[in-house]
Amino acid sequence: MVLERSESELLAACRRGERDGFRELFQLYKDKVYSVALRFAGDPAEAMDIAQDIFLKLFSSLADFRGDSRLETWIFRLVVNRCLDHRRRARRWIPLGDGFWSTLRAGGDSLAQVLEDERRGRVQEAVNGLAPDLRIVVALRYTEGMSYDQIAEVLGCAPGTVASRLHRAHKLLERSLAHLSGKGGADV
Amino acid sequence: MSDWLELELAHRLTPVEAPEELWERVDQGLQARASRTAFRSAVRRAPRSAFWTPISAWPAWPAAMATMALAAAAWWLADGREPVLDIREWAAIEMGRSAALELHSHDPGEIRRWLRDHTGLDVPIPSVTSVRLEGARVVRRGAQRVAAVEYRAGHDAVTLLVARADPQHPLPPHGARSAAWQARDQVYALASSTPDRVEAGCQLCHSSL
Repeated sequence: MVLERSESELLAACRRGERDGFRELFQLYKDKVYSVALRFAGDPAEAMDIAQDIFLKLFSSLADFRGDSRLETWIFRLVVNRCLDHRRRARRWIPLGDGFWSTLRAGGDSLAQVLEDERRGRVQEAVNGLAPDLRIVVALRYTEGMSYDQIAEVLGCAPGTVASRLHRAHKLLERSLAHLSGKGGADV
Repeated sequence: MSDWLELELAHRLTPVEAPEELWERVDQGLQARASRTAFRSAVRRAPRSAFWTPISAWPAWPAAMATMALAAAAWWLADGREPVLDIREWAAIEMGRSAALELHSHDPGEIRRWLRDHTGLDVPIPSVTSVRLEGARVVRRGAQRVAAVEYRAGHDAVTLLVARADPQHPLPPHGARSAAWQARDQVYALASSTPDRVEAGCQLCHSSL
């Protein structure tokens, strides 16, 4: 109850155009918004662009939020719309930062970290290969940990549609990530 | 679904922390939007054709422009040097003008050369653009010269204004989706016949928008 009241106060502050209100709302949702954008886009620079656009849209359209759904659901609808509008740019090589080389020099546990990052990269690459409508469902499910019902509410579709999209995504990912299953093939 | 895949996805697609610079970018966008909103609301009160109506029929916004001009003049007199007009003010003025082109051309290269010769400013225009280039002209006020590229984006008549940046008053860098921005040592502003869709002017360089 306290949380609801503070949320409505926060919304009121934002609607009055108070910068501190914007900042507070941003702090509450920045990691969620950026994480889904990153898992959807697969590129930190593009995720930054998407997240920036989402927050600008959020702050300019707060007057449209009537409270019919939870604020978080409404924000994730903005996230989904912006992600699906997003046209992926030409793929870029991400330069290896100093961290990579210091990791290699450190050896031992750090080498395990390099392998872990490599594995994470392969999973993200496989997700990048999915169609946008499947990718967004995967991001909401595994990055945000949403239930089928929550995803359905955000997407404005039936839970059965969510299940169907996840099933298709799983089939495709199973195929592209078969080498990670440990059943034959080279592992990293 | 296989258990290994469920584990892989849950383990590898975990949430991350947003970079610190995200707020700076959002905040910059908010400020740009606030200034653009004020700018638009001032301009929207009068249609383009009503710009040069008799003084008695003028709406309030030209008075605001005049006040700004007087303030700039006062500053100039006090400081003893020519005031550097904000590129956004140039854009506001250009929005109501229908000035003749000095160069009629659809050729980006020709427009670039002409502007360089007449203003000393380099205005690189992509050789392939989705807008229809009309030509260029020089906007003059005292010793100041501003390059103007005229083009059509769909049904909108757009003017891209380019001037030297004032180091004392930097604009936000490009990327904030602003109608005015700064890149290197030049400032840019868009004036559109449809102020609500000034972003359409971005198609000059960003054809995919």
